[in-house]
Amino acid sequence: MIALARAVIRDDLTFPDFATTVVSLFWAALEPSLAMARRYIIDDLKPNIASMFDEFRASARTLAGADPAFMQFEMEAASRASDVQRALDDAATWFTRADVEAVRRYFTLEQAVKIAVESAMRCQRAFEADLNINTQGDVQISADSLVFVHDVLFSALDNVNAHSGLKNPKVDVRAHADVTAGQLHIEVLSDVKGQNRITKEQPLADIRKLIDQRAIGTRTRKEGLTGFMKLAAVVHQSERGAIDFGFTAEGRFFLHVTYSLIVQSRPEMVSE
Amino acid sequence: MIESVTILLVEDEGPKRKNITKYLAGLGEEVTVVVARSVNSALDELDKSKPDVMLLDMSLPTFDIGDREPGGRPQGFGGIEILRQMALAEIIIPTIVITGYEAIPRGEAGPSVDINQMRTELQAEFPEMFQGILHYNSTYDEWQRELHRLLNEIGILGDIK
Repeated sequence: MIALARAVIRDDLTFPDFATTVVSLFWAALEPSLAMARRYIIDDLKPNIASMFDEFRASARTLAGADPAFMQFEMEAASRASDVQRALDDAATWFTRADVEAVRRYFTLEQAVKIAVESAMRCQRAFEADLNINTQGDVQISADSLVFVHDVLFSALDNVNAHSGLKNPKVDVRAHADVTAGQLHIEVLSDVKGQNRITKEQPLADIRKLIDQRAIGTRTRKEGLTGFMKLAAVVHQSERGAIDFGFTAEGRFFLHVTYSLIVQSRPEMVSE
Repeated sequence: MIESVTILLVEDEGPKRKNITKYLAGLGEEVTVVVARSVNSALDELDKSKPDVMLLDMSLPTFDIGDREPGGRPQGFGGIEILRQMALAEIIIPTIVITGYEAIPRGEAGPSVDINQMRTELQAEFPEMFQGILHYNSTYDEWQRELHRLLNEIGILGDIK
């Protein structure tokens, strides 16, 4: 995040611009944790509490027998169970940003990719890739999308650095915004030493299987071999998001990420 | 015999909706479940298409609950509001009421009613639509057995190949 902020502030010539950008970046960095809190409240806490209320009412039913007062109790308990669920829905909304537009800063796709590559490469010390960058799409993306572009390129370049087996691999970075479909496509193609491919196929298949099974919740909290899974956790927040990776027929490694974008009435786009 | 069945599930409470949807999904791939979470969204769905059967909660908010708005406190008889609107528009869909209440509050409209009384009233007011009422409690499987029986009675399960 610090490396990304450093790369970004080169374009910010005034302090207000810098502050807006950094606040946007911090919000973007916070978003995965906020999403996790929302999911916990809605998907875990709420069903568990509803189930506890049901058990409580069922037990009370057994104890009450034919007591006429039970109906009043039951009605009250059911009503309170509903109230608690609605309160939890409200609580989940606390973990969202209300003033999104107030902290928004936009970048062209070309700027975003350039900043992200620069920042990602700064984190890969002693790694010299032969980079070829190509962007298509006259769109603007928000700072939180920039963080995602950075995460994709950081994971991709870190992967190339660690696993290509080459000192100076050729890396093609392609980014393309499809405004109609509301998608941002990022593709990274890199050269790989032939024998490395054989040893990497199985770990890649394992990661692909975990992603397909959506079994990425706990694994993403660990370090190592989790970059693609962390990306999957983000892109799968939308049905339009996708991630694919593997080897091309020519033996190059590819990472293709599709990220969902919502087109606004302004020409800018925001992340979903 | 038809090849697929569409069921409109009108339910605002997430955990209950999830459990019922899971049960319906288990009936077979031929079952399509359309979900509405409020009185208005249920009426919108009925405008769009006619399901083969409707599973209806009684206590429903007027509008869907959005990210930043409450959607209104559930009305004790939001389900009846839907049935009345359907009757006015002459939309006849076999309907099973699934309520989490053993006694249903009427609010300012009068004293609460228990399920048996509610069954009698719904049968009298909506004889063409009303197929039955059952009490939902996730602790027990009774609601599933009762729902299975009612769907069978309507002929829905026979339609699933």
